[in-house]
Amino acid sequence: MKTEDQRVAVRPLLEAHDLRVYFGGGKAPLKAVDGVSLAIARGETVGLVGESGCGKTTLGRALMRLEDSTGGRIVFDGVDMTGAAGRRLRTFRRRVQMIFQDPHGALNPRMSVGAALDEVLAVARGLPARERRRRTVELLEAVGLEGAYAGRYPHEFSGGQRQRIVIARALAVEPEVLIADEPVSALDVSVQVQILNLLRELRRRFNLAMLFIAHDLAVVRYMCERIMVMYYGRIVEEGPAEAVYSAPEHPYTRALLSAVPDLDASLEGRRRNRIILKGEVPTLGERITGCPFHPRCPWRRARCVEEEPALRERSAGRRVACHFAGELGDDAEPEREVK
Amino acid sequence: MALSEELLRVEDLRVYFSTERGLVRAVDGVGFVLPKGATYALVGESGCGKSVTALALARLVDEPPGYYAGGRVLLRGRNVLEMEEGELRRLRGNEISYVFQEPAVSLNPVFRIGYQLAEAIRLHRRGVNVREEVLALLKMVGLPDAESKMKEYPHRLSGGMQQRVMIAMALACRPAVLVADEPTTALDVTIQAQILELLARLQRELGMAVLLITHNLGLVADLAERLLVMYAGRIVEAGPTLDLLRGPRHPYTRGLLAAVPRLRSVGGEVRGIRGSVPNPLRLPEGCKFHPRCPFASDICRRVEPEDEWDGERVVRCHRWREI
Amino acid sequence: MNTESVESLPESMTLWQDAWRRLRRRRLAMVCLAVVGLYTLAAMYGECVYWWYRLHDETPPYKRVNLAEQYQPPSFLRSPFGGRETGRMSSLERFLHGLKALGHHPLGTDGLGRDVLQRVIQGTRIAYQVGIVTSLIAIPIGVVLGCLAGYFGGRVDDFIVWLYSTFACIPGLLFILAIAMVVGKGLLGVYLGIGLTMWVGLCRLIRGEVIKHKERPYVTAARALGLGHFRIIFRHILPNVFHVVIVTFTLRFPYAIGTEVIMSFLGIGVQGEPSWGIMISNARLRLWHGVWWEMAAATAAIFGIVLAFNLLGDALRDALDPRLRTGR
Repeated sequence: MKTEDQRVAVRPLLEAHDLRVYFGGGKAPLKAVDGVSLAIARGETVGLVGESGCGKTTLGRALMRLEDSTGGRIVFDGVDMTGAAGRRLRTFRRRVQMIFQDPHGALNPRMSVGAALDEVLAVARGLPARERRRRTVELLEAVGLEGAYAGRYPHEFSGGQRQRIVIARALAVEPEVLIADEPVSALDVSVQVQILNLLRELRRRFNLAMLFIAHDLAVVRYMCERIMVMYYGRIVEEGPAEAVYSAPEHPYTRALLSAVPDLDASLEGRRRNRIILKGEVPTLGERITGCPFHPRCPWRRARCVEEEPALRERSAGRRVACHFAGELGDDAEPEREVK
Repeated sequence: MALSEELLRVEDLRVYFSTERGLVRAVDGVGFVLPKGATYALVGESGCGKSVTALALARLVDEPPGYYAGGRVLLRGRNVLEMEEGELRRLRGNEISYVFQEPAVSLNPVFRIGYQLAEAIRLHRRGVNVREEVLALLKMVGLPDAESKMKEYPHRLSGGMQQRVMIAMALACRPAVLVADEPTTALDVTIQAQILELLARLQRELGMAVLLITHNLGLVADLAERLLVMYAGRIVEAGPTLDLLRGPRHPYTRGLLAAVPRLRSVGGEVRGIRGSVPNPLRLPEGCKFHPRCPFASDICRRVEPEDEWDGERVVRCHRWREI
Repeated sequence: MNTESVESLPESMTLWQDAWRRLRRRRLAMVCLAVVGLYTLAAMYGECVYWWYRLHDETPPYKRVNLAEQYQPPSFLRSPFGGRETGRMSSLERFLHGLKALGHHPLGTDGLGRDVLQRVIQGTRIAYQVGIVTSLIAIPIGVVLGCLAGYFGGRVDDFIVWLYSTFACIPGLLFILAIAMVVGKGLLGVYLGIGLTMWVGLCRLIRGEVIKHKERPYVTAARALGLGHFRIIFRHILPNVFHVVIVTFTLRFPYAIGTEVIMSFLGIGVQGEPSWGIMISNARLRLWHGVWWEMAAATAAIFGIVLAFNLLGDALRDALDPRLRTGR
């Protein structure tokens, strides 16, 4: 385990500064990502948590330059990649790889597993044929599949096996950053952990930096040292997983954590103070003034409606975007201030 | 619970599908008794037959390719599987109704919400003020601003609201049994909590029996009294929820519980179950779980285990006492 | 690392093999395939005959005028096993003679005494030439433009959509006529006329499919792996939309044949060769004199191949449609 100070000393591998991705342009663009800054170091896994439509997938894609950013910068290994194009962009993409939610759709149904890996090894790495065959088998074995499966087609595999193939393909280019977008949410419960453990092992083996995007808080907890909570295109809370989970400061994080079905609590017969949020997850097209969370926030005050809170540093590595962070009290049920 | 009145009894239910690639025994000998006003949960992974079991309760499995190869589904003593078409139609929606996973595709996109609800009411109930009833239902499921939402088309509502409408529709005729097939899987975590709370409240208020179908063990712990764990078309373990979760007996249930990362546990590697969910076309001999089971022995490979009762708990495993 | 050897995989099968397996189970589709095969054989035979006489510099029999035998009805109507000259023969001889008579102009002759069967076979040859050459023109244009429009979108898409909309606006026959005017009557005009109008439908279909596939994660994955645009289009997306090409080909093939018939009938098509259109055009005047067999033979030939291709196309669409194959 690295300590907080050591981690700061390490230069981050992938950084985003005030990244913005707007869709549609014009007067009322959809602000999928609205001013997000983050940094991921080698060997570190950062969790990105949020509900559907909060912009977490767009952020992941934008970091790989699969989505054009409207503003802000992406820096990889100290080099600005925001405007990279052509060969430079392709090389950059190979150093950052992505794993997708739907392992079925992520594989070309008309290409055998071996051919898919072979293509990557040939095009991206330029290896000779014999070397490629050897690497294909190695990669399949690295993700826990038999090398003999190279001739098989994606539809012949189960969901978990397909996800292993997707991971093998991502590893084929020997990336340094892995962006995993909901890599297990489409899989069966008993298989999910296999994939999570595989990712943990590969992370260690290849010293990967990883951005782990998910909506399942327990899974993120299992994978990440640091987490970021995203709401309505913005980061609302960020910090070491340990601290965020045990003492969430943003009301949304609190609600999110209390909404997760908690097996342990039920087993111990503990009554939990559940915060059940009113209202719906906002769509990006909605106009919300002030704090984006205020329409659903049980702790809402007049100031929240008028002024948008900035992401403030609360303690080392811990940032929260709430006017009243630290003043909410421990009680799950807030005292209500009527509007 | 033994004293409570029996409402639905499923005995040795077998639903098979003949596909072009062979016979799929989707449900193969499932049995349970659902008492009046109880909440049971049917838990399992994809392809274990839980949804087919649910559909079979109102004989809703498409025939062909599916067919009922055996067993009975007794609702208040009448066998659903032998009912005539007319009788079935009265049963569906009236006595058993369903809430499905995808509210977006379960609602017809070209009709207004209010109209679709009214249709469900007109179909089964005579002599009520339909408009008032629609409003009352929408209010009951906590749809804000029900008056104006009635006139909306489904796509104008969010997933959570659509699911509320689906629940309202299912409750239109005050059914005796509500089957909720993964009702919150497609929804966001914060919305999930809303819907689950709604279901629990409605169950208390209306006193109906609920069969909750899910793959998420954490979800059912707070809601269900009894848990039925399915694997490869069979119920491999059943028992009172907390009892079962605290002391799982079947290796599959154990594995499933161990495989769920916990919110509060720190560090420590979670171990999954090896292998993947079996292809229903090629189920193994003997115990269907043996290829993935860490405790499998010779007998598991040859002989399929039978139900073993122990108090209120049932388990289908040769070796549960040893492990 | 635990290897996933717990579950053995079933027999390997590509999606194409799977589609073929589905197709094979449809009896009607297989009958159609057999019919198409027969026509293909006939066309190949016709090609051989054509080149044989061409290389030997002789007039082929289907062009040879023989006024002594004009307007002969099909052989089976000429009571081949009866007739005056067979009176003194033994029954075996009579049978053999009958067979020979049956084989002599089996479908009768036309107004110049030319064998109708031979001409129908030559018509098949022309029809296949038209079908294949027009497809060779239309498919590459449609596929390439459709892929580019669908994949790149934006300006490229605007331009290509404008292009095919413009083509689609011109009434087909008029356009073909115009081309025939430019390049002159004959097969070249037919090829270009049909080929340059036929790509529009295919292009539109391919564009739609590519737009659908462009959003699939596997394409994103390919981009993420740093693969180039053209590799993604032609190695990744195209194989997944290729079933559209196959189905379109089977449905457009008879359309091309039909158009050729119309053009030849109108006199702007094939010149000097016995295409089905020319046969029908020639036969229509003599129909009033009770000479129906030439018209019937050509019409039946067209009917057979158009029907076979259409049914086959529908069966292929069912067999190839990936949507019907979900969940497996």
